[in-house]
Amino acid sequence: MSANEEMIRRLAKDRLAMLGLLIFVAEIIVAVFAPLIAPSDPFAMDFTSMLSAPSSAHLMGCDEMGRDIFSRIIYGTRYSLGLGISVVVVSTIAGTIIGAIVGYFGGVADAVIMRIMDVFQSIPSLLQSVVISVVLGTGFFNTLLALSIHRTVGSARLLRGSIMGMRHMEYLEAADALNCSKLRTILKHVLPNSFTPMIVYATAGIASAIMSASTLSFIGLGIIAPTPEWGAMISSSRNYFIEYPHTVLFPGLAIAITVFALSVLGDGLRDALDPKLKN
Amino acid sequence: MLKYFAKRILWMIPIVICVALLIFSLMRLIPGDPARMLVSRDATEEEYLNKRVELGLDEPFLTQLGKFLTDTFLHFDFGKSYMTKTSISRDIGPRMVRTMELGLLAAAFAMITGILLGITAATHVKKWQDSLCMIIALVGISMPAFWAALLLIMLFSVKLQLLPPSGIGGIQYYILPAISVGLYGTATFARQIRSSMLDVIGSDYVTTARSKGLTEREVIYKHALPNALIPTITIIGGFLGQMFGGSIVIETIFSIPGMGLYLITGINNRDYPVVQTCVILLSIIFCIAMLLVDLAYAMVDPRIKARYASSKVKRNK
Amino acid sequence: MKKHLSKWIALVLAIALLLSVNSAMAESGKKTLTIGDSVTFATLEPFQSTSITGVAYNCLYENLASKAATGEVIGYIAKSWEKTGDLTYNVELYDYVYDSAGNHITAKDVEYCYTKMLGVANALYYASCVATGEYTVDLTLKDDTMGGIENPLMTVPIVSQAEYEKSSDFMASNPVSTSHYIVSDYTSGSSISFIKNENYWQKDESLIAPVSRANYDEVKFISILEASQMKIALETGVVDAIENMSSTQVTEFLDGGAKADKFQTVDISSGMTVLINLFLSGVESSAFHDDVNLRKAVAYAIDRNGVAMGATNGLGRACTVFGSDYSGDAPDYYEAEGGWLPYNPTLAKEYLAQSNYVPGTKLRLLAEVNTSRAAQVIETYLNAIGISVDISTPDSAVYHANYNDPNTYDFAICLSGFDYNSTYWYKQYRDVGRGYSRHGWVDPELHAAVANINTVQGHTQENINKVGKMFDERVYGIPLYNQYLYYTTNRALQYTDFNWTVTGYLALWACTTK
Repeated sequence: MSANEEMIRRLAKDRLAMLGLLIFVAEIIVAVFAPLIAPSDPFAMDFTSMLSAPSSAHLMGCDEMGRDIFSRIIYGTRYSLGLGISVVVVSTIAGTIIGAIVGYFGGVADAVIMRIMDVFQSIPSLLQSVVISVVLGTGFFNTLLALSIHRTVGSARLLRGSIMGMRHMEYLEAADALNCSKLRTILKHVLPNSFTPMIVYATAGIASAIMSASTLSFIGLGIIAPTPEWGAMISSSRNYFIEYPHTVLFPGLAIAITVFALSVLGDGLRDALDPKLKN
Repeated sequence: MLKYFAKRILWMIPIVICVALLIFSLMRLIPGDPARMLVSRDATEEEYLNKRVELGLDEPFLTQLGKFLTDTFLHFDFGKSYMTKTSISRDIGPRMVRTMELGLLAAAFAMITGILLGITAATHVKKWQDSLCMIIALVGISMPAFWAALLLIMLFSVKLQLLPPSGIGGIQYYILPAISVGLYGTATFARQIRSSMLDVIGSDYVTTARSKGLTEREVIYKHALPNALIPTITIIGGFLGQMFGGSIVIETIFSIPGMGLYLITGINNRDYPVVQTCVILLSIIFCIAMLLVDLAYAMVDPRIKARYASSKVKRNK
Repeated sequence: MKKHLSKWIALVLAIALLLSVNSAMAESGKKTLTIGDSVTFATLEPFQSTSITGVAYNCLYENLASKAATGEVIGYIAKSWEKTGDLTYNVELYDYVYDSAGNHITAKDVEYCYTKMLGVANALYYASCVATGEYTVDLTLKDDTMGGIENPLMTVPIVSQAEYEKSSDFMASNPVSTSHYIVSDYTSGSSISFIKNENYWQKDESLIAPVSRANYDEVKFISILEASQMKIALETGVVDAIENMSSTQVTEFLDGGAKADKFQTVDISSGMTVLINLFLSGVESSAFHDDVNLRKAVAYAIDRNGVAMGATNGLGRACTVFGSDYSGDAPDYYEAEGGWLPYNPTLAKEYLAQSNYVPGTKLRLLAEVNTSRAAQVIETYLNAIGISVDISTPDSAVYHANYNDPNTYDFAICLSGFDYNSTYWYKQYRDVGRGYSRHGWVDPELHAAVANINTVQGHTQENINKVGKMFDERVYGIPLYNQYLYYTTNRALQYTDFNWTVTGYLALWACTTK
């Protein structure tokens, strides 16, 4: 059976990874159909039930402005998952382009761009995101940019590494000998083989991006109240968490469950794609 | 090998200068004006403009940049904070120490608990202890540090009243912050150690040790563990980066006046010199830390050592 | 393996327990007070904004004048003052004032301090201070505004010039002053500790101003940034009192609350007016420019009680006058007219129909992070009558930059503290020097009127009422609510009375206990 089918079979056997996949898919569905699933408008304020505990009317209680937490968590999947996936997609594409060009052509361009990337990588990632976020401002798109920069550098480095490792392999020399154009060489030979580490990096990246996004929102950058991003929800309720722990508990659980699911899925993918790495 | 590391140290200098350039420019792109923050709300336009002159903000960008670079790198003068007008080099010393203390404590916590979890999982592989430890590790990776901090405060400070909820003083003030920051590291260490332990346990080296009649404990702790620890050195580098970022949030929650809090306060107040100094210093520390990690890894990994040893032998001949 | 793990945990917990018990044991015999505050204590320098040290400023430095228990202004380092010119006062100092290092405070020192303080633009009302003798100075005011000579006398710190210049860091970490307390320990960004100055210059107990009394041997201030942390610190005994506890935390400590048996709160709102105000922008790009019907629609659509409730959990008081209810100088004709600007959505919709508002246009509302809840409530009310709102809550620096440029918003929420309504109106509605007010309104009649009521002669009830009427018809702004402010203290301290600082804070170290 083909390598792909082999890989899928291995993945399907990993029960934890399947659980992660299930949760991930479920959350995507929730994000897409949020208006149909959520019982209330996530922005609607009800001043008579501020900070109320979970009840039949409000499954997860209300926050300090009287908004239904359950609905906000549901809509929050759009922001958190959306941001996580977008960051990875954008940074993977950008990183691939940069890494491919630089890795294959080498020379001065390679040296210069690598030094630029060194500069970015010498600043811790959250710090980078914080400063860029302050420059750009809050909001979905701005946060997307702020979080993507560090990952783009990482992706580019990874691809470049793969390419450098392969440049000297026989089949490339053979392709060269056959006078394939450089572009074709990259697209048909180099990229597909660099795919594996990129996929693993990407899946881990979604979880990491969600975590960074929620941290930024907690500080007050990123996506802020009243938008129902989970980190922002914890931030705006942090003054009440002792008497009303439900306001902070549920958004935190949402983040934890999402990151958990993505982590086990990422682990499973890594193990399935390259059994040599697994124990 | 020495050549390689010397090269890297030399490369650090232009990189740090570029970081300085980058943060200087980024700060001036941020909307909001430090002079506006320093004059009272009802100040006249004249007072505001005078403040700008006083801070040196009315000069052209390149002049300011030139002054900044020469001051920082030639005179090692980090300037004065716009907010407090005190010398930054003097203010930042104790703050850096506090953040380092927090980081070291967090690293110690992460390593100890990570090793314990990893070993437990590896020595009981595929049994319930393994699953439990790995689930704990997964939970550690999934919990946002700031959420963990709030939960820890609720449990240990409010309900049990065992540990102080905020501030600085003795080591007890650093316990909850260190756990919050280190939780992610615990998980990463645990997973890595389990994985490398399983590698090592199955190897010839350990089989030989066992056949020599050593107790299981000796085999695990004296022979398997040291080898399993080698790959974890690279994790420390990643952990440090995450820790520096995490300290921003954790220091705010626990009111610890460290570098993270200094930095975020500086950003909020548009206190350019403070932010510039913090970022430059953090980058230098981060670079050096990564260098040390790579150095340690190179020295400890017998394969790399062997490669360099043989090349040295070749050259000497 | 399990055994090892649990041994580790037990060991760690035991250490933690030991350490926390150790630190809880207080020194016996000395009367100490620990106060939690949300300020940063980043520097202790005298000539700086008082927001950096908060109420601890009053333990650090003394001023020429202070307040008596009755609230009247009395001389402290200054013996007396008399008006010798239009705007000039001759101030005579006591000749036996010494700082803790033994320096004798003379007129030259006072002149130095006042000149230095002018460089810290903090809305001060004096133009100059010149020494005229060894213990006399001439203090000249800038103009004839309300507050007169008392404000400058009470707000400028006095230190010895020689001592200040000797200090290597402008007294940022080692201040030397005439205060009844000396700094014994200081951690920048975290805490300040004071011990009582046994060699205080004022030996006559009866002459010591209420605020300068030292009823505690040691006073410590701790910086706590998170509101919830403040509450925990108070409940666990880490601090004895919290200055200005946030409205989100204080409910349990109020009378009738769950913790009221162990803690008491002191309402300092009357001494410290904090008003949350909604200002409309008058520039041409603003939706409110030239559209008084829209302004009235917005005014009647907002229920100020609802805003106070939603923004402060009931710990705010909706304005019943145009201005702060606590300031004492508000228009007084509202009773006769059935109250000021009652909530009336029907009337609001009528005005809206007559206005030029195009349904669907988003009005830009600017707010700060700590007034964002009020903004969200206002949005709800305006949505109810059909006005769409776009709220922007940028961080502090961007907010200040935008607030000063009325082109960036249609209306903005502003939180301010002040003494007199007339001072506040003057600052907000005067001509900034280019023909319009800071919010972009061109209204020479109003500009002149607010300038007038801010002078000592012009400050009459009649003039205030005239200005009130102008505001009623023009609706350039809508004061929303006053925020209640509380000190929360542990009942174990057993206070019998409270002393106030000049800025309206409590001087807990000076208050009498049983």
